[in-house]
Amino acid sequence: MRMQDMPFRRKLMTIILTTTAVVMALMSGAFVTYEVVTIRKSLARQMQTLGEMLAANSTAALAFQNQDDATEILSALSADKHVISAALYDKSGHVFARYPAAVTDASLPAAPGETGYVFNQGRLTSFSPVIQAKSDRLGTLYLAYDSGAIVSEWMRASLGIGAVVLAIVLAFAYLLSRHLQQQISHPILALADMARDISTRRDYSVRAPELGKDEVGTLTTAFNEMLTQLQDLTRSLEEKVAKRTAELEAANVELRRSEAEVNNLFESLPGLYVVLTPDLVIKAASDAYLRATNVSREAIVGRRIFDVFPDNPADSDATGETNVGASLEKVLRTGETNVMAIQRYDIRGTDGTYRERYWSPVNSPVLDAERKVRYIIHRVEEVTDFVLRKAEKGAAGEELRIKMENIEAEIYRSSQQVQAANRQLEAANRELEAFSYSVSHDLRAPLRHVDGFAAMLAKHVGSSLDERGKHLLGTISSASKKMGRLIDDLLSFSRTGRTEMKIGPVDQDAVVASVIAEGQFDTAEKKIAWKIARLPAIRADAAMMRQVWANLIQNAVKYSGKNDAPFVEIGCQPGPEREVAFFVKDNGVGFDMKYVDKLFGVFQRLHSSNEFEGTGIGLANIRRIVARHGGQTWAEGVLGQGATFFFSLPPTLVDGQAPRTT
Amino acid sequence: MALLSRLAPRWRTIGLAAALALAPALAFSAATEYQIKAVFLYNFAEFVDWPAGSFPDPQAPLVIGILGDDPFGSMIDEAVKGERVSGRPIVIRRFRTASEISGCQILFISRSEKDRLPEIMRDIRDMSVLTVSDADGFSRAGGMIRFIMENNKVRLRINPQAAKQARLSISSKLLRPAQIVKAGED
Repeated sequence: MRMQDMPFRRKLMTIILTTTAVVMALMSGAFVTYEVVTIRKSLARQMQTLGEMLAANSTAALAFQNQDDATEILSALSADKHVISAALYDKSGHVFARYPAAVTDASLPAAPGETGYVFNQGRLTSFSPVIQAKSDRLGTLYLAYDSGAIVSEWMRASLGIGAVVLAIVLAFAYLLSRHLQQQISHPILALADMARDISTRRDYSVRAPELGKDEVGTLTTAFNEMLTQLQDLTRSLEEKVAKRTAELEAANVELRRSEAEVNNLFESLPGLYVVLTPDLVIKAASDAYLRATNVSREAIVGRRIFDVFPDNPADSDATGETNVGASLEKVLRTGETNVMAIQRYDIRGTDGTYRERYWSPVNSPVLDAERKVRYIIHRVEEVTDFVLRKAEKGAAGEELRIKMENIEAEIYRSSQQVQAANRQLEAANRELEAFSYSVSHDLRAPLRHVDGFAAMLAKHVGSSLDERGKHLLGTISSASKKMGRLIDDLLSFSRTGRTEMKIGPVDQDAVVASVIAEGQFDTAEKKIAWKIARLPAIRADAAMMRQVWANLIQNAVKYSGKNDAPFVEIGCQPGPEREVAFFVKDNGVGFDMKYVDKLFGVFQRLHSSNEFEGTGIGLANIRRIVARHGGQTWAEGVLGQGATFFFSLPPTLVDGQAPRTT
Repeated sequence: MALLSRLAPRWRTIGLAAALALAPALAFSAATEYQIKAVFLYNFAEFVDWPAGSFPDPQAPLVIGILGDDPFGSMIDEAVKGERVSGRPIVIRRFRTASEISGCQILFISRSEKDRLPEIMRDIRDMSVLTVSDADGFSRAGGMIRFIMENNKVRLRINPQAAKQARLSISSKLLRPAQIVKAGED
C-alpha cells in the first residue's frame, strides 16, 4: 500500500517506527565506529604494554646471547591466541629469537622497523626497543597481532546485541507510539468520521467536539465554522429554490391562463377562422367557424382539413376541395395571401346529408423568422344567403336593400362564371401552346431540307451560276437558317411557359459575372465601360434567371454597339410597389417611349434585323419568366440616348427584404 | 651495511663483533670467544648495582680490571672505547697481582691466576667488585660469575651468594639466562 493511501493511524505509527529505527541504526553505526576505534586503540596499548614487558624481560637474553632463553620468553605469548608471530632482533638487526618456533623468516619483517604500531590488513604490528637501564639498545622486539579477528569477533558479538536492543527499542516504540499517536489521530479521525457522516447524510447541523487548542483544534473550529456557513448557505439556497419554484409555478399558471385567454380570444373571434399547419392539418378554429360548419372542435382539430370537409359526393361538379387546395398550395409556395373567388363547398350536416353552402375564402400565411410558412390562416365568409337570396326572394321588403343584395349576389355569381371562363381560357391556352410547340417542331424538318438542298444545289451548279443566281441561292439559305433560329427561339419560349420551376437560392452576382465572362463582349477595338452593383441573392429558378440576365446583358451590349464609348450599368433599386427592381442600363440606340408596350411582345421589334440581329423573342421570354416568378417587367428609353430594362421580383423571393404577410 | 654505516662508530664496532660472534657458520676461535667475553664483561655493568660509594663521583668511570695474563689484548680496549654505562665511560686496567687491585668495579681474573684464586678472593673480599672468570673452580673459590662453554656458546654460571656478600645486587634478569651455583659448588 502506498504511504498516502494508508490509514492515518498506520501512517503515524509507520513514521514513528521508521524514525526510531533510522535513529537507532545511525546511533549504532556511530557507536560501532567509536567502539572499533577504541578497540583498536586499546589493542594497540595492550600490545605496546606486552611488547615493553617482553622487551624488558629479554634484555639479558639479548645481552648475553642466550637464544634459548629468548625463545622461552617469547613462547609465553602462546597464552594469547591472537598473537600471530613475534621476533627478537639483535643489535645488528638479525632475527635472534622467534615465535612460534615454526615461523619462517619470510613471514617476519626482514629488518626491525621504526618503534611504534601499525594496523595493516587486519594485523596490528609493533616494534619495541629492547633497552636495559636506559643505556644501550640491545635489540628490537617485533609483535604481530590478529587485530582483524578481534574486531570481527567483537562485531559479531555487538551485532547480536544490537539486534536484540533494536528489537526491544522498536517494541517499546511501537507500544509507546500506539498510545501516543492517539493524541493526534483521535481528533483527526473523529473529524474525518464526522465529515464522512455529513457527506453521506447531508446533515449540516452536527458539530465536531473541540478537543484541544492545537492545530487540530483550530481545524475543528474552522470545520465547524464552515459547517455553519454551509448550513446557512443550504438554507438560503433552499429558500431561493422554493421561492423560484413558486415564481415559476405562478408564471406557469399565468402562462397557461394567458394561453387559454389567447385561445379564448381566437375562438371568440366573430369571423370564421381556421389555423392550418403547412401539412393542412387543423390547428385551431373559431367558435363561429364551428357553428357555421356544424362540427365540434374535438372532431376537427388535429385532422387534415380535406378529411374533415370532403366535397359533396352527390355534386359531380364540386370543385371546392380542388380550388381551396390550389389556393393553399399557392400560399405555401409563394408565402403570400391568396384571396379566392366565391366557392361552393357543401357541408355535411349531422344527419349525413350535405347542405349547399357558398364561401368567400382568404388564405393568409403566417411566416417564421426564415420566411417559411409556419401556419396558414384560412378565413371564410359564409355567403350562401347572398348567393341563394335571388332564388328565395320575391317577398315584400325594402326594395332597395333587396336590389342591392341582388346585385351583390349577381356579382358573386358572375365572379363564379368568370372563374370558370378563366379556367377554360387557361385550358385553351395550354392546348394552343402544345399545338404551337408541335407545329414549330414539325416545321423544322422541312426547313432543314430547304437549307440542305439549297446547299447541295449551290455545290452542284455553283460554278455555272452567275452572280445573281448565287445571291438568290444565298438568300434561300440564310432565310431558311433565320427561320430555323426563329423556330428554336419559339420552342424555347414555349418551354419557358411549360417547364416546371425549381425554386432555389440564386447568387445573382455570380450569374451576372459568368454571363459577362462567357459573352466575351469586350473586343480589342472596343471596350465596354461596365458598372456593376452588388445584387441581393434571390430564391428563383436558377436556369431561368440566368436566361433573363443573359438576354438583358446581350441586348444592352448589342444596342450600345454603335456607340464609340459603350456603357452598361447593372444594378437594383426599390420598385414602384416595395418590391426590388433589377435593371440593365445602356447608352445605345434607345427607343421611343411611344412603342414601349410593343417591346415585350413576341416577334415585336423596334429595329430591323439588318440593323441589329435578333428574332424578337428575347424580351417576351424575359417577361414570361419574370411573370412566372410573380414579378413584373418594364423599360424606359430615349431614342438615341439609351435604354433601361427593369424586372422586379416579389420581396419574398429576395434576401434581406421584409416578408409581406398581407 | 647501509644501516651500519649510519650508526655511531661504537655501534659499528660492537655490531661487527656481535655479527662475528653470532654467525653460526663461523668456526669458534679463541679470538672470537674472547671478543664475546669482552662484550659480556661490560654488559654486566647494566645488570649489577654497586653499593653507594663504589664510585668516587657520579662521573667517575667504570673500571674493568684484568688480573693476570690478558687474554683480550687490545681487543677489549677497542670494544669499550666510547662506550658508556649509566653515563660513565669505561676504563680498562690491567693488574699483575691482587694487591695492586683498587678502584675497580668489575674484575676479570685470567686463567693464569687459577691456582691463586683463594688468595685473590681473600685480598679483594672487602671490595665491592664483581668477579668474573673463565677458570675452573672459580665458583667454588667464591667467584661470582664464571664463563663456561656450552655447545660452543658462552654461558654464565652465577653465584648470587658471593655477590651478596660483596654487597652487589645482581638483576634477576641476569640470573634468568644463567646457571645458579651455591657456595662451595663449581
